[in-house]
Amino acid sequence: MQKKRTGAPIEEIKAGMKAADYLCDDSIATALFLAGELNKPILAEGPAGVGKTDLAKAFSRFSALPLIRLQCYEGLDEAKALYEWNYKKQLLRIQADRSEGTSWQELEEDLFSEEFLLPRPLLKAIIGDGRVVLLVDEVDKADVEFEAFLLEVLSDFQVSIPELGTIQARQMPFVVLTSNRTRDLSEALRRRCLYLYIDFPDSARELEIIRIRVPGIAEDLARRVLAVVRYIRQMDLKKVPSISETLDWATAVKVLGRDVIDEDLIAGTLSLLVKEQKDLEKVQANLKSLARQALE
Amino acid sequence: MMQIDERLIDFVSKMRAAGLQVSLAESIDACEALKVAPLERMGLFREALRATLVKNELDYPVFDSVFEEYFLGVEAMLSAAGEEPDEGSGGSDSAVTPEELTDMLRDALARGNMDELSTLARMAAASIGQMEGGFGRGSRPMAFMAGSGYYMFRGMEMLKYGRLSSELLEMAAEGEIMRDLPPVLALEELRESIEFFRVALEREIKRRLALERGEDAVGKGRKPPVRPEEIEFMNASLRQVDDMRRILPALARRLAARIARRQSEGRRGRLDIRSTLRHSISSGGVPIDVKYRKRVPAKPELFILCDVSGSVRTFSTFTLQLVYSLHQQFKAVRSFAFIDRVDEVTELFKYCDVDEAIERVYRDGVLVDGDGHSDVGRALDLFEKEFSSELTPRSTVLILSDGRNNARDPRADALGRVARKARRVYWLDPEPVERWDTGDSIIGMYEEHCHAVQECRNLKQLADFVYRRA
Repeated sequence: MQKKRTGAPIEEIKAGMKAADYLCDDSIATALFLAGELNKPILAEGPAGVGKTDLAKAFSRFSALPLIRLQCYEGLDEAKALYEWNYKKQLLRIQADRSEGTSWQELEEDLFSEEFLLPRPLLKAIIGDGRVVLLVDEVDKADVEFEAFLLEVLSDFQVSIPELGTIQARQMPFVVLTSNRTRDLSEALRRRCLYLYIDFPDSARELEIIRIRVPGIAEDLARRVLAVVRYIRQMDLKKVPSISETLDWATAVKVLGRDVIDEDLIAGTLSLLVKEQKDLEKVQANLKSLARQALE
Repeated sequence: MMQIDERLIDFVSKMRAAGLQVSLAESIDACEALKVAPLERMGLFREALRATLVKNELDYPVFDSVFEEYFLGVEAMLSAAGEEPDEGSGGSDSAVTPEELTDMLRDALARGNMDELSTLARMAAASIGQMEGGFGRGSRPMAFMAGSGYYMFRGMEMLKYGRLSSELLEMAAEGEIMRDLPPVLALEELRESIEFFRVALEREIKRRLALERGEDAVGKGRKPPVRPEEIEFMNASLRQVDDMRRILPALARRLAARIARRQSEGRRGRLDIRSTLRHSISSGGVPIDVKYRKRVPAKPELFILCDVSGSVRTFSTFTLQLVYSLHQQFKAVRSFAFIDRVDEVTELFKYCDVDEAIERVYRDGVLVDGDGHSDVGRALDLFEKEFSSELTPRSTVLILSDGRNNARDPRADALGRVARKARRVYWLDPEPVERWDTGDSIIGMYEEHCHAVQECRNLKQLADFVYRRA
C-alpha cells in the first residue's frame, strides 16, 4: 500500500469555496482538486441553473485568479474565440500610409504586429502573465468544428498565428467547460476532461445554499421558502425552478420583509420561480396547497 | 495482494465488460489521480475514479454498480483479517428479535439519523444471516447459488420494510411525526432515509456474502443495468419503460437541436447583395464580410401508421412521442393506428398529451374487427382505400410494425400503391434483424415497396433514424 493520504485538501477546498459563497459536495471538491493537480479541464454538465457557471466564478474568487469567460453560441468561430486581425484599423493604416511612400515590406511588418491584433478570450487566457480561470460556457451551443478546435487549444495550450509564430502558454489556465446537453459533446473532448455532473442538491444542502447566498435570511423563513420550492418541483412542470430561481425568490421574500409566506405573497412573486405560461397556470391553480406547505 | 495499479487495470477491464467505454488515456488519468487524491474515505476514492473514468452522467448507474461489486469485495477481503467478531458467533446482535429491530428502525427512520441506520443495517444483516443459517451456506437447498437479491428479499420480509415505510410516509404527510419540518421536506427526508437504509442493508449483505464466498461471488449472476436508450422496446420491463420515459424529453430536445443545427449550417443560400453592401460601409466600401441569404428547409408532411397491438405497443408509443415532440420539423403530422383495421387518430393528439392520447386510441379508436391479433395486410389495404387519395408527392409515410401478420394475407400490392403516391415510405421494425422473416414475420414481402426498412430496437436507433431522415 502507498502512504495514507488524508482528505484535508478536499476539506480545504470545501471551506475555501464556502467562503467564496459556493457550497461544494464531495464530487465537486474532488473534481476541483484533481483539476488543479493534474492540470486538466473540468467538464461540468447538469440541468440549467444548478450553478455550473457559478462554480468557475466562485473558484476564481477562492483562488484569487482572474476569470476569463468565453460564452459559446451557434456560429462562434476562431476569430471570435481566439484572435482576429483588426481589418478596419489595418485598412486605415494602409490608406494613411499612401502619401508617405513606405515600402511594402515595412508596411507588412507593421500591419501584422501586436498593435493590430485583437486577442479574444482563449488567447487572453494563454498570453496573460499569471494563471487565470478560463470559463468556456455552454460549449454545447457551439458548432462541432469549434469543439474540435477547442480540443486542440486545450490539449497543448499553444496557439499558432501564421504571421507572428507560435505562442506558448506561460502558465496553464484552470479551465472549466459547462454544458446543458442540448447536444452530445464529442468523445474526444470528454476524454480530455475531468467529468463532473452537477444535479439538484438534496434539501439539506439547498437550505445551506440559501443561507449562504441570501445572507441574513431567517432560518425559519429559509425553510419555508425551500418547502414551497420543493413542492413546486414535484409538480409536473415543463421547467422546474432551479437553484438560481430559488435564490431569487428567497431574496425577494426577504426584501419584502414578510415573515409569513401566504397565498398573496406567492401569487405576487410567482413569476420569479416559474417562467413558463402553462406552468404558471398550473401552479396558480394550486396556490392554497402551496401556501399550506409554508405553514407548520 | 495486488498493487493499486494492477487493481485499477483489473477494475477498468470490469468496467469495459459491463459495456462502458474507457480509453487508455483515461485509465492513465485515473492512475495519476490516485497518486495524488486523498483515499482516506471510500467516497473520495470513488469520486476520483468517477471523475476520470466516466464521462457521461448516463453511465453513472453502471459505474456505481460495478464499483460497489468490485471494491466492496476488496474491502471485505481486507477487513476479513481481524475485525468482525459478531459473525454468527451469537454476539450481542443475536439477542434482538426481528420485531425489536423493526421498532428500532421505525424510530431511527423518523429521526433521520444516518449513523443509527447504518448500525441497524449491520444488525439486520447479522439477523438475516442467522435466520438463513449463514450467507451462501446453511441448510437451505441451493443456498450456495443465492445472490444478494435473495437475502435482500428475505430481509425486507423479515423487517416488514414495505409496510413500515408506507406507514411512516403516511404519518409524515399527516404531520404526526417529524413535526419540526414542513410536510414536503419531512416526506422528502423520510424517503431519503428509507432509501438510505435499503442501500446500506444491501451493501452489508453483499459485504458479508463476499466475506464468506470470496470477492468474485458478489457480482455473480447479476447483469449491470442497461442504459435507458439501449433498452429494447420488445422486452422492456415496466420499470425500464419508466426509465425510458424519463429520458425521452431530453433526447427529443437534443435531437431537435441537432436537426436545427444541420439545417442552418452548410447549405447557405444565394449571395445577399443588399446586406453585403450595407455591411461594407463600415470598412470604407470594401466588402470584407460577404452575406448570404438563408435557405428555408423543405418540411415533409408525415403520415405515421402504427401497429398498436400488444407486442409493439411500447415501441409505437415512444415513436409517436418522439415524433410529436419534433412536430415543428414537419409541415403536418397525421397519425393512424391499426390492429386489424385502421383509424385516423390525429385529432386525439391535438388536445391532449401523447400518453393520454394513446390511452384514448385504445378506448375510442375503431381498430379491431376480428380477434384482436394484428393484421398488417388488411390494415394497409384499408389505409390505401380510405386515405391514399390524400397522399401527395410531398408526403412521407412511416410504418411502425413488426410485420408479423399472424399468417394472414400480406397484400403487399396495397403498400406498393401507397408507395407510388407518396414521396417516401419507411418501415421501422422493433425486432432484431435476425428474427425478420422467421415465423409469421413477412417483413421481406413489404421491403421491396419501401425506401428503407430499418431495425429499431431501442431509443438510440430510433433517434438515429429520425436524425438521418428528418
